[in-house]
Order: sequence, then structure tokens, then C-alpha cells
Amino acid sequence: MTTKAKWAFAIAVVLAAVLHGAGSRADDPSTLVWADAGEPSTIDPAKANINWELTVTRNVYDRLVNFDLSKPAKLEPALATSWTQDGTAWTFKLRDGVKFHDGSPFGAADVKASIDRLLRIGQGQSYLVADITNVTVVDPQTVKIETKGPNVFLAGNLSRIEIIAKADIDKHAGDADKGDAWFGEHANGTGPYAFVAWTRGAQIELKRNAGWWGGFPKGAFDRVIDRFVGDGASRGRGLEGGEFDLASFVPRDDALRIGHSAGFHAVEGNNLWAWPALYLNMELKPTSNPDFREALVRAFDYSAMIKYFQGGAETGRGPVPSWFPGSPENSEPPIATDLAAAKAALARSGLAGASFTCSVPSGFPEFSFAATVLQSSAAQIGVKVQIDEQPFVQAITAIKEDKSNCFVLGNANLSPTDATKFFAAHYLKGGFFNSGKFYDAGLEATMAKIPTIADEAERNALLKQAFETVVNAHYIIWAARPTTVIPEPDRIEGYRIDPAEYINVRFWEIHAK
Amino acid sequence: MAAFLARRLAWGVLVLLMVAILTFFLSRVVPADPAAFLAGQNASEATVARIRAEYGLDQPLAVQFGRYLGGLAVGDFGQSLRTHRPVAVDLAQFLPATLELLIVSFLVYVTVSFFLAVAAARHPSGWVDACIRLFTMLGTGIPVFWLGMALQFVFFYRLHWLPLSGRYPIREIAPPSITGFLLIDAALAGKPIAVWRALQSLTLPALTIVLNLLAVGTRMSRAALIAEYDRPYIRTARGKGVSARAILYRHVLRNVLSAVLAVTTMQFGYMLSWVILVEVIFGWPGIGLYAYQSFQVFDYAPVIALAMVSTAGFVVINLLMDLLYPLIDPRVRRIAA
Repeated sequence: MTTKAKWAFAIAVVLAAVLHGAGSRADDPSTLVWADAGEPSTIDPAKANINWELTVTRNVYDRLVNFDLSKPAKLEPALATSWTQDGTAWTFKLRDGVKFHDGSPFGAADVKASIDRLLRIGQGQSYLVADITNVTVVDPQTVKIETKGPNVFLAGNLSRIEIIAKADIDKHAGDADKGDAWFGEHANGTGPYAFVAWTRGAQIELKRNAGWWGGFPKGAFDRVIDRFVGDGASRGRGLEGGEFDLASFVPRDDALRIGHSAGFHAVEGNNLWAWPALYLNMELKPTSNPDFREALVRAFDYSAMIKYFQGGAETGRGPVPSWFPGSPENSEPPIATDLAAAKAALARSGLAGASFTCSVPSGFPEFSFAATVLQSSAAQIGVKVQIDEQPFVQAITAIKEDKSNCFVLGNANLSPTDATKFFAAHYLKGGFFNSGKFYDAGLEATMAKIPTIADEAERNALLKQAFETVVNAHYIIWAARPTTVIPEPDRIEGYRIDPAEYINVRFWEIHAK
Repeated sequence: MAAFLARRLAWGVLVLLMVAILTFFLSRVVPADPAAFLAGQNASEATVARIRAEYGLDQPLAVQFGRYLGGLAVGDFGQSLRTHRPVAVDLAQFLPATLELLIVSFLVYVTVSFFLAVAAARHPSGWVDACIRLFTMLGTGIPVFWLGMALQFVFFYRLHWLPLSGRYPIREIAPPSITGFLLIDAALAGKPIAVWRALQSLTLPALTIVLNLLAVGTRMSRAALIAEYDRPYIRTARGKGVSARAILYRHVLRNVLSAVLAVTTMQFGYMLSWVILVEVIFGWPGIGLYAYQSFQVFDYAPVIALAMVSTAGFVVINLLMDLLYPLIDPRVRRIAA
């Protein structure tokens, strides 16, 4: 071997030795790395609204009640150990001996301060409890919450409302923004994981709260890194390569492939109400015509969507999925492709040969695919659809400002038991997702009435009525309802699909095998 | 020289002003309401209106622009709707990561393209030249996003040699931030392993940038070198028995340096545009990724700030190069005099 060759060989050996293992999972079984789809804009529980913001708030803060992910209607004690409803007043008995991560004790004053602040700010999950009129501290361990009218869903909806420390609110009350900036980037909760640090642009670090009242399974992780990885394919690659332990929003094809590959298993479950759903503009021609909308609903090729989701999806029969408590779906007729009925409806509309634009938020391949299916389905009845792919805010603005006839979206419900909040956002006047401006006076009244009814059967009958109102208006094409798939490495277990949120992670349930 | 500098600086300020005007009004023609995003999906109209007023988005465009220009004059780029922090604070946090990536990539690029160009020019049309041309053309021909992902696939996914993304291994504790330049901070912390880890994270993003730029730089330098080698004085030098090394370093390089510098300056401009894509692919927490994420939610201020910072960078680099020319080329010195 020449001198040059010897040098080259030596360098290669050293490089291989140093490089080896740099990209693989470190030998650190006490740390869990969760690859999230984005960086939080805020970790203030009064403002957190997007999945990657809720990742932090759900795990750092506690709520008054939790719910069983397997049975959403079954509420479980959390910071409150019991609760009762008496007309418009709910009384919650609070857990004793709970402490915030800074060591200060938790009590009824914290609950009042948290809810008052949430309602003052009016963002985040506040819409779930917007009918609260008064919160009263009865004693240090008892709190009374009053609503405008009787609301049977209040306890369930409080399972989405995080409790912060009154002392923190008071400490920052003198700030110009009343502490909003502080809560935006600091967190002091009572939850299973404590906030450690936020490295902007990279990750948030949490550590296990060993004194948490809830207890942890054996093998629970001491440290959690919430890593921000904007690209879905990169999250999938990182998961496969061992850089991440779990990842959110991995593109479905990749999630299925990874979940069924060696060393992984797929966690599947229902939580999507429609994904995608095509909203039709009720005020702009030609979709303002009810017969024209019916023609589109009947012409749509639902089987193409099922094939797209590789069989892991169903076609919804309406706005509320069968697995949601009280859903009438199973008693409703299926929605299926019927070209003859579509042509007949089009003829009734008098809009044969019409054309319109459909706005599609970019970055969601399944949304683009649904728009393409609409385009080809509409072509079967002689209607021309032009697809306009834009960033989300731009796409929804286009239909809201009557510059587009159609908007593609996916949706889930954040309340485990209350469908009225979903209806409010999607079908009632002023609802953020009611992009096509659907309005029905009867539906508005029904939705206001449902929470006030104590009898479950009576509530369900009204929900069925609301369900049919929306279906018969042909406002939305429910293209598909796929299952949610999360690939989990075999070395880990405990991830469960949250039936009331698309991607939600409970770090306190996840543990090493 | 002072007059020359003043003239160039005035031009630089004018260019920056034009960029500010253009990007401000372009960002406002996008039909979207950032306040609605900030308020959250279920916020009431009243809440959205309150936020719109808080950020001055309810004011006429002329008023918004006037305020923006006034802020720029005192180094205030406005407030980010996404991070809820002043853009200047965000820039101060993210700029070092971008500069570190750019500087390392630039140094590697200049060094590698120089050696490749010399190797190719010494035996034009030989097999070494052909291999170099093929290699560099491949690097440039492949789209930057695909190249980045391919490198991730090979070096992270298959070989497990290098990290997938970020500036530092996820599970390890990074050295405390002092300068924001991780390589320097790691060195200041006295941890050679931290320097090595930071270098590992830097390798793939830098390689993606370098490979994409290599062909142009190498080919231009190669052409300049070949032309210089063909000059009569070089033949004379060879005839006199001057060594190949001396011909290269004492004669050829000194004469082609201005041309190489011109190409390199242009390439730095390209690097500024590539860096956004590369930062997105590799989750590199610099100003490119920051602006990309901001743009997705129509958070205008960071996007305009990125345009301003990139333009300022380009202006400064060009200015530096203008100042360097007379130093390295006596012919330019004479013309300037």
C-alpha cells in the first residue's frame, strides 16, 4: 500500500467511526421525540388553537374533567373529582393537594381566574364555553359555574379548557397586554409534563412532573421533545430512521406503509367527521341553486375517494359520524353516486353546461384529489370545474368573498359530546368554517335548544332533525371519512386516537415497552 | 474613493427602498386576512376586529405603509403576527443560523470549485475534466429540493451517518447560545464534541447548496484558467522551465482572480435565494424557514424583512467586491486612479 493509500484508508476509518450513529436514535430511552407539523404561535391555553399548540397545552396543563378516549361520552375526574348540574348552575368539587409546577397550590380561585381570562380574550377554545355567565368561588375546593341557559354539555366541553394559576395572571396584570405575551411563551400548569424550554425554530422541551396526581404507566418518558418539522414526508422519514419516536400528520400513504413495516405497528381510529368535505357557496351562482348543488352531490364519485384511502375510509351519510354519541347516521340513507339522478337534478336547475371555480387549500394531497374527483364527476354531467389551489387563508377568503363557488376542507369536532359547537362553526350564521354561508333559521333555533334539554332521547331526535336539514340542503359534498393512522414503533406503546380531535397526543399515556 | 463609496451606498439605500415599497404592496394585494388566522378558527367577528385594530391592519394602506417606513428608519421591522414578537428580535435570533450556513457553504464552495477548476483546466478535455464536468452538471441539474431529500435519504435514512434536520442532534443538549453561531458557541463552551455535532448537522444543508452552485463556478473558473494558460507569456514561462506550480500560483491565478471574484459574487446572490428552500428541507432554523412559515399564514412583516435583509446582504457583498477589485488587480487600480 502506498503512503497516499494508507492515509486515505486511515481517514476513511476515522470518518466512518465518528460518523457512525450520528443520524440514528441516540441510546436515550428516557426521552420521547414527537415530530409535530409546526411551531406553536402561542402556548397560551386561552389562545392555543392549532394541533401543535395544543400538544403543549394538553400535556402541561390539566382540565377540570377528562374523557375516556375509547368512550367519549364517559367523563372522568381530573382537577375536579365530582360535579353536579342544577339548571343553569354547575358545581365542581376540586381535587385536594394538587400543585402547579412552580410549587404553588391549586384551588378554586385558579379555576375562576382561568375561565374569566379565557372569556375576556375570546380566542382558542373559548367558543366551547362561551355561554358561561359567572364563575364563583364557593370555597377553596369548590367552584360554581353558571351558564346563560341550562347546558348539559358544559362538563364535557370543560374537558378542553386548561386551568392556569391565578398567581401568574395577577403577577402580569400590570403588563400592557395583561400578561398575554408572558403566557404566550411560558407555561406553569399542574399537568403531567412541565415546560422546560422553547428553542425557537426547533423544539420545545418538557419534563415529567413526578408529583402529578394522575400517575404514569411503567416506562413513561422523563423528557419529551416536541420537535417542529414542517414537511410531512420529512416527519415520515425521521420516524422510519429513528430520529423521531412518534410523528403527527404523516401523509397517509407513508403512515400506512410505515405502520405496516417491520418494527412498527399502525394505530388506527375514528375522529374525522369528513376529510375532505367540499363546501358549496350558497350565495353565488351557479351553486346558489339547490338543484345544481344536488346534481353535484349525486354526481360525485365517492368510490374514487375510498380507493384513494386504500379502503380505510367510508362515505359519510351526513354531518355527524355514527360513532359520535347520539348520532342518527346509521338510520339515514347512504349517499352514493347516481348519475341519472344527478342529470335529472341538473335539468331541474336549468344550469346545464355551467362552470365554476373550486378553491383548494394547498399542501393537502387528499384535498387536491377530491377537487379533481369533483372536476371529473361534474364533467360527466357537462359541468366544468376550474380548480384553484391556494394557501388556506387565501382559499377560504376566496369563497367567503364570493370569488369562488367551492372550498375543500377537512374537519373534526373538538368537543367529545357536544355536536352543537360543530354545527355552530360549520352551518350556523357567522361560523368560521361556514364558508359557503349556509343559513337555516330552523337549524339555528334547534342548535340553541339542544344543550338545554336534559332528556337524551329528545336531544338525539333534534340532532337527527338538524342532520337531515343539512343533508337535504346539499350544501356539502362529504367526499370521504377516512380513519386516522399513526405509525408507532414497536418499542413504544400507549398512543391512542383522540375521537374528538384530529391529532392529539397524551404524552402521559405513552411509554416504552 | 470616498465619493465612490458614497455613491454606492446611496444606490444601496435606493435599492432597499424600492424593495421595501415593492414587497409591502405585493404582500397587501394577497386577498387574505391575517387577523382571522391569528384570532383562531372559532373566534367571533368582534375578536377578529379587535386584533385587526391592535396590529393596525384596519388602517388605510397608505397609513400602514407610512408607519412601516417610519419603523424601518429606526430599525423596527414591525411585529410578527405568528410569533407575537418584534420581527427585529426574531431576525436577531434566526439570522446567525442562516449566516453560519451561508458562510460555511460559501467557503466550501469557493475552495472546492477552485480546486476542481484547476484540476479540470490543467488537462482540458481529459478524463479528469470530463468527470468534473459531469459531476458538477449533475449537481446543478438536479432540483435543490430533490437533491436535499436524496442526500437525507442516503446519509440519514440508509447510512445513519448524519442527522435528518436541525442545527443540533435533537436528544442532546446544545451548548448555551452566546453568539448564535453554533460552531463558535460550541467552541466557546470548550466542547470539541459539540463542535463536531454542529458540523454534522451542517453538512447536508451545506452540501446541498454547494452541489447546486458548483457547476457554474467551476465551469467559469475553468474557462478563465484555460484562456489564461493559453496566453503567450505562459508559453514563454513554460519554455523558460518555470514549474507548473509557480505558473499556476504566480501568474495564472493572479490574472484570473478578478473574473473568478465576479462569478463568486453572483453565486452568493444565488445562495441567498437557495437558502430558503434548503432551510425548509432541513428544518434549519434560520431566516429562510422563518419567512417561509410566516408567509404561509400571511404574516407580512417577516417576509418583507427577509427581502430587505437579503437585498442588504447582496448590496454589501457587491460593495465589498468592488472594494476588493483594486486591491487584487493593478489594472483596476490604475483605472480608478
